[in-house]
Amino acid sequence: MTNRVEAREQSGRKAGASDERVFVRDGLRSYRRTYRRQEVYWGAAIVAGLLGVLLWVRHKGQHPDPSLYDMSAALSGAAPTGAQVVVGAERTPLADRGPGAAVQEASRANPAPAPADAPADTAGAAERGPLPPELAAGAFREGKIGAYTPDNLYVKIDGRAEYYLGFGLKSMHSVTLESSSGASVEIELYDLGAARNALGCYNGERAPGAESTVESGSTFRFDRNAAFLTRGPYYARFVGSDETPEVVAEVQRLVEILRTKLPSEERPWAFDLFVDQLKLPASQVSYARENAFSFGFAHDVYKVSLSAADSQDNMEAFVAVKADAAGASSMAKQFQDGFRSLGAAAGQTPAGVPLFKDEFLGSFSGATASERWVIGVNSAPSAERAHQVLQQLEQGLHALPEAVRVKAQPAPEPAKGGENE
Amino acid sequence: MSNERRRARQVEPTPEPSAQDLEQQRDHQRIERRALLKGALGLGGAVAAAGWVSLAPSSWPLSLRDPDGERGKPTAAVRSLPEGGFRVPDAPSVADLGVAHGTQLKPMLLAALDALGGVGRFIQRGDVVVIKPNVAFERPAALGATTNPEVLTALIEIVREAGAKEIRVADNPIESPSSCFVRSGIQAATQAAGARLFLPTPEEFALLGTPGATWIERWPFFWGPFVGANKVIGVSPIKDHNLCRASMTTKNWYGLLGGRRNQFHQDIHGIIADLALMLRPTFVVLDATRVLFRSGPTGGSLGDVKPGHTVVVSRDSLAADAYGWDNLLERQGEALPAYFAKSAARQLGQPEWRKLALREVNIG
Amino acid sequence: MKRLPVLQSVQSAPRAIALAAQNATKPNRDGSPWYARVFRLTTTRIITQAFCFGLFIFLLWVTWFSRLGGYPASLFLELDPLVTFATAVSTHTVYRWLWRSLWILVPTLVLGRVFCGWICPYGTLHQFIGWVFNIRRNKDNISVNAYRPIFQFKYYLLVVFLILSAFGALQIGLLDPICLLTRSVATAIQPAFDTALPDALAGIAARPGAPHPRVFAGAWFIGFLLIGLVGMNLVIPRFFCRVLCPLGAFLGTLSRFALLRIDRDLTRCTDCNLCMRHCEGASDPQEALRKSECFVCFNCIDDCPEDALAFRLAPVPVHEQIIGSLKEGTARLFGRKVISKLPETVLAPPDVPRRRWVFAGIAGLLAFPFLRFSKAVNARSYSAKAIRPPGSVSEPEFLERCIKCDQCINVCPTNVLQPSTLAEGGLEGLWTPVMDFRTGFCQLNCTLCSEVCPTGAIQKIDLARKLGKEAHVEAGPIRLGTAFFNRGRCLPWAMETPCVVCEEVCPTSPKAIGTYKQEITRWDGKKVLLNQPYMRPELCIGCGICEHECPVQDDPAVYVTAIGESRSKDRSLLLGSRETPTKT
Repeated sequence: MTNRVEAREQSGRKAGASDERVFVRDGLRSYRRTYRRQEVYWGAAIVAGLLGVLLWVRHKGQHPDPSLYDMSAALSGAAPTGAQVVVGAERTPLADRGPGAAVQEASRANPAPAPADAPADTAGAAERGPLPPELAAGAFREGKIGAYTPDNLYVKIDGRAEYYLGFGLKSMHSVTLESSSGASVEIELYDLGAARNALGCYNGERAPGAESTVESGSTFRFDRNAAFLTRGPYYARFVGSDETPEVVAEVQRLVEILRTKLPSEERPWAFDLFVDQLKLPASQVSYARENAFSFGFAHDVYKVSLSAADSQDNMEAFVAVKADAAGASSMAKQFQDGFRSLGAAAGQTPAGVPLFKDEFLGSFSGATASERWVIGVNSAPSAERAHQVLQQLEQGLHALPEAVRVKAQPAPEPAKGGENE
Repeated sequence: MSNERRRARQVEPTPEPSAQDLEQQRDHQRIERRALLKGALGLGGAVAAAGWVSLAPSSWPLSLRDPDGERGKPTAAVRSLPEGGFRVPDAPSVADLGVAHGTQLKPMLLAALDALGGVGRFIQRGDVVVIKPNVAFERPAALGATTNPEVLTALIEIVREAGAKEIRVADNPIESPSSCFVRSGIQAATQAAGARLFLPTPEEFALLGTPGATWIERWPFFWGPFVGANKVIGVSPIKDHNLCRASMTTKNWYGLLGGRRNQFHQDIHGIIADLALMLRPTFVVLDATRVLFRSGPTGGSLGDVKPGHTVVVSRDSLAADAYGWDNLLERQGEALPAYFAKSAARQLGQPEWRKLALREVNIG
Repeated sequence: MKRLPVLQSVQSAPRAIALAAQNATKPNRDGSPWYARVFRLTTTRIITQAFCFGLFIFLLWVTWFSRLGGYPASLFLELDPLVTFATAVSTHTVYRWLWRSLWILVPTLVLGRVFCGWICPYGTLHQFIGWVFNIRRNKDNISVNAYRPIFQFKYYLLVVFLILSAFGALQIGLLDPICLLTRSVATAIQPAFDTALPDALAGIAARPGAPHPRVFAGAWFIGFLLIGLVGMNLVIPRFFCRVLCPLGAFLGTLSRFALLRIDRDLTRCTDCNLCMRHCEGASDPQEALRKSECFVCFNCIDDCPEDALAFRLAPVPVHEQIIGSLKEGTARLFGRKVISKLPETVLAPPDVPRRRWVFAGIAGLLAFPFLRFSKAVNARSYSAKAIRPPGSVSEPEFLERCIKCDQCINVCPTNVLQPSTLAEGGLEGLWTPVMDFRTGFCQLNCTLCSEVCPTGAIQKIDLARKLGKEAHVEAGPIRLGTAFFNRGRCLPWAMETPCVVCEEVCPTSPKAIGTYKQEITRWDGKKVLLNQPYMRPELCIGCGICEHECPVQDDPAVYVTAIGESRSKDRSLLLGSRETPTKT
């Protein structure tokens, strides 16, 4: 037993001694006894081969593949798809346009990505609507352009939207132009679909005493730092932030631009009657798309104001066209019933047109049919005057050129809720 | 043990210890006492040390006591740039803005610097100069998104000829730094001109304190190149930028920020105003040899770039920027971006460049 | 005369060196000059191993944009014959530089497994670790280098891998030594090296100028696997090479045709077994040499005291020429007395029983459907986040080609390429490159990954092809995927806070991100101008810099997913989009 212990101790010591070394034991020792020079020659050849490999790697390293470092592709050509972003085509996110607007907006705007050769303008034009790009060319910087439909107009002009919807609003575009000093002018451009609607809308917002200028297809007026314009189917309102000369000048410039750039339309047939035949000023002509004189049946009625600007009374002659004579006489009857409800019958004109006297105003009103047309007068100061007007209207109608008579057609009935025409 | 042996033991009297034996025993006891003393001292020392380290008041040396966790919180040294920035003294008789047009960059830069009083006013013998170009993106120089390497070369040569001891070029790009420096040509230009290039490795960053700043009162900053530097020059291209409207010499310092700097776009004009406060350079060069007028700041198409053939040098980065806004980006009439007003409110520059003395030269 | 190995002497170093030099230049006992001993073939082998290892590490170190030049960065992968063979089996093509493996194949057919003994850097690593930390004494060295049946395992692996390759699932990269070492160095060792490097030496950093330390998914596993496999050398020397290496199995199967091999002279061999002391391949030189295991390392020749071993051309077994009886000691061969008691000198084919070959075949046949029908790699439910590098072929072809070498991950300048984890790609896609836009993004003008891929999983593309310019305008740019906005997390959309970093950094021209401008009054009365971003999917190339820069870092408000990538027809998003151009 002792021997085993001793032997274990001995070997353990030896093992311990060898384990104390960190590195290898007998690392370089080999047992071979003979050596050959041949190995050295092979070894030298192999090392020469290694040097060759080294030189080859170095050679490759110094001759890079040019395409790896060639940046010319990054510099060449236009964008791969050829499209360009149109500057200024910023629009409000779809979420803000109300329900149903997404569909309208999509059908209106260009849905597909522009192909390489498509003009970039069309995408931009859809955003601006009828607002001409020249608006931005002045010292006032053009801000965001808002586009509204009948469904979400209230977002922009809460409260007044009904008025415009009543005139058959198709769309509205608004833009605010700002100067570097902080002054601004806001433009609201309403597309009402037809010149008569725009005209009616314009006149509806006009104070009785405000004078309009009618010039080459446009009707407009200025009011301190504001302006109002109608041309073709468009009605534009311009409102400046203050009355400084800078703002007023800008308003004038903008009106001038829209006046020249907006498309005009042929003026309604009633102008031929009122202006050409009856020699009345064009600025006095107006139009009621619906609810003329607050009568629910009275759609598509043209009116002209006959009173002087500063007089107390409010005499108007009016005319409407129907599809046929039966329709006209039926509407004339409706007018008569309407006037009767406001007062009492007051005899007839010498031509046989029943007159009615208003209970409170004491003025005379009457209407009658003439072929397809309905003619009438409202708030005449006297029966004689009423008769006189009616006669003038009758004669004027007969004197209308054939072309105009043919052109005179009734407008489509406004659908419930005031949708597009 | 067997019973016999036990009995034998009891019967046999044990021999008395001799004096020698007792002496030996006493020596042994002495040794034992010494061992006890040593052991006890060692133990006491260890206990005392442990007690000291954990219980001695925090202010005493070698104490690790941390009753509320405050000491354990990491603190980092906050560095600061020299008081007054890297500006040279005012010299009222020279121009504030030097504008040079032409195609030969070194004469243009020299002429623009002469308008400001000559390069000797700014760089003296033995200066350590940091030049900060814009190398934010991995784009070839022709796309106008980065500083023109030829402008950088010319600037380095001018600064060296003025006697600078060491010229350092540094930027912290948005994309991979190694590729950005190579592809934009800045690395080659730096090495050919013999300047030292600093790459933004993590150890080069340190916290910088900017007192009075809104957002970067303390923020990781590319500190490495600024150790021992006493002059700083910014050289930036002129670029359109959707968020802050234009990126020019003031926004150039953005490239020295580290950390999560992508948060600052929530108040981009505020951060640019802070940058103007953070770093007051010796002078800035607005490299308008190319103008990236659209689709900036990354660009990407030659159609977004037009030649500008201009360099603008100024001590006042706001003035240089405003000049670039009006004349090179051709946005005169549009309102200046908000950072101009914010910086001007802190007296960091004069955005109304027309009120400053300007000299314009045409070279070739 | 006893030579003092330098390492064992702890006395004064200059004296020890002088002594060693003196010893080294003494002429040998047999009269041959000293250089015949100092520069014997094993010395040359060691030099070659060190050179190849150094070259391997150098080529990986140089795989970086600022250093790459024209260096053949993937040279060792291209030299690897198993890579060439397996990809030829799976794709029926030999891509680009893979023909270079002929430089290894031909010497193998002549000399045997010289690759394992002289060239393989992973083998060098194992051998070095096994030698340096060897605490065994002679007897144990000899017994540990004996052949064991477990060494057959690598042949089973090879069969399984080759059958999988035939079916189009290339899995050799899991255990191929060059792929494994490249992957380990790229993902685990280089980042560790860079972190440990002191600032003064920053010039030799593996990835200079990286603003953040490079991180790789699953690097812990790759690193531990490396340590584990290398550590096994302490148990069995060159454990990996003998037990697991499929390349070794492949070369071993080929080396049965080798013209030269170690031959044992029966009239000199005394059966002392010293030749097994440092036999690297455990090829039993002391009895019947296993040709398919021999690494041609010449250690056996170095250790034979009787000069009984030699490396000879086409030796034919002699045991049939012996006259007499070995047992009684009267055997004679060609007139000389036969000393050795083991007359067999060679065993040519890999020693795998036939039935076991069949088992391996069946395992291979089953492995394919098990791998392929794990959901992660199927067309019906591919991972939306498995976004491949630009220039990649479509997914089924990718899995036929990718050898998981991770060279692309190595070279990627922004660290966006990550080895795929089991969750993203299953086992079949493990360690293949996918993009993680939280760590990086794909730089617009960079095509480095396509340059270094040895097998064409990422086809070599030039910049014009990547950007869709010049000759490739019709095909359009290479798209990696499409970016999407999560408006509920986007600062301008959901939080009344201005931002729009994504639009700023979008590299395409025109930008693939547009903004709606909206001025609002916030809840606290402040007026802010919000730039609310939206996608233009026709322009988006899926580079991911928007996701990377989005300040909502933990779950970005703009993120890229794989749909819309141009390499796959079945992953297109828009009607007008085009796939990789192979149009007729």
